[in-house]
Amino acid sequence: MAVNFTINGETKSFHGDPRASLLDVLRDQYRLTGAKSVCGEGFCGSCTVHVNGAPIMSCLKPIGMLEGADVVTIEGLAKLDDLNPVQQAFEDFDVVQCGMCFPGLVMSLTEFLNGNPTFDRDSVKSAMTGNICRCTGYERIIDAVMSLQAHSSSKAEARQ
Amino acid sequence: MQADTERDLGAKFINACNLDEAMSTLAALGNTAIPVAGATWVMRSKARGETNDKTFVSLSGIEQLNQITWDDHQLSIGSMVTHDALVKAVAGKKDLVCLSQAAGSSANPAVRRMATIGGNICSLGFFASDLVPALACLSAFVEVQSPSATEQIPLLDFLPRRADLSAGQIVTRFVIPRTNNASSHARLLMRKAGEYPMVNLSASIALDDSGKVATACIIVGSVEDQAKRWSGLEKALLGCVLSQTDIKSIASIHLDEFVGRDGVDAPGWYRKRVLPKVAAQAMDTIVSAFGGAT
Repeated sequence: MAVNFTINGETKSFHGDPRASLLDVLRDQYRLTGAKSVCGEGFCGSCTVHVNGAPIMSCLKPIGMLEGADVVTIEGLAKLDDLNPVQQAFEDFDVVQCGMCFPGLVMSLTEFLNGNPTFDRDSVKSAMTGNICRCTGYERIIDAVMSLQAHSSSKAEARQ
Repeated sequence: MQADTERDLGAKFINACNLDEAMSTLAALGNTAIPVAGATWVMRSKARGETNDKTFVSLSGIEQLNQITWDDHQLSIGSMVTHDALVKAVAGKKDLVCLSQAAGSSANPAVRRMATIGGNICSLGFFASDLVPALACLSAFVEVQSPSATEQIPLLDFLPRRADLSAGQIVTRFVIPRTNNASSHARLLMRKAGEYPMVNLSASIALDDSGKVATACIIVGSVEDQAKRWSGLEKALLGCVLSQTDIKSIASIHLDEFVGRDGVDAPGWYRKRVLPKVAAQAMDTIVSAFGGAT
């Protein structure tokens, strides 16, 4: 069985065991190691990627369910010299420590900002429920996201 | 439809295109295959110390199982509807608040986009489901189809039977009668979110013309291996004005009908200890829903 899908805009055809997790396929087959293999149970969020625009836990998604899907990983979210707003805010606020949780956090929070032009600290925390960080204590992460409030509002106005 | 040759050659993953194909494939493959909904339970097999080399028969492509339909009398929810989709579908319905609260607080946002109502109910060994007490207090029926028959079973009656579903039987939808009740769902975790609840509770209450409790259905989950009705508290609340009732004290008198299960998250005695507080939280929500009229 071949599973045909796209990763970061590139067409792929996977011919291995379709019960393998998307996370294992991304890391082992395609060497996209931005998504991390940590808890393996969908609790920590380090494996978060976008499938058809929605953040999901790639450790829990069998590759066989992704026929025709559009997968975006942290590597494909933005260019290295043109970071997306969440990535830039994290850099500006100097919040990254060990780096294990941040790809997943960026994936979750990018989608959160796309759907929420206005937000408060509590809603940011809710959006981060599935992303565990053991280093930072979270507050500076939330500060960084809150700094994007104006950016997110102006994007929403531009769409209108 | 995938070629029969793939099935014959021991394909490890089959994307069923329709319900008939899913049922016939599962029946043909017997105990060498399993139906797969959102996959969030089966993909954690290794973490549970289980080996699983069975063929996955994915139900994700069956449109019929993703449908949510309403009429004046009932809500029908396809078994492949995700938690996330369920929250959006039932928003604003007073009698279904317990369902939106349960579906909207389970796990975390990413898992809620993947995990289905059918998979949640059918996962054996999962004691902390939020959807089970919510559906049970709404008197939900589980519809099970096989090539030869369709059966609708009250949810609490279905739970002990789910391990005995035969190959080819699939849970297709959940049917919930609509009422004028108010409902709510409360849960207690070690942290604020993102974990299985140590205790959860759903309640559905109807009032009489004087604002007193006419009927009460209270289902407790996660305290024991299977969710069950809190009969003592239900009887004790009949005829009460909820806002004038010390729910926590009354609930404390009726704890003996539970045998708390010990788990890595909490011992059984602790689950029972906190249960009255969780009951009080659920009833506060219901009082608000009735506008303080009880």
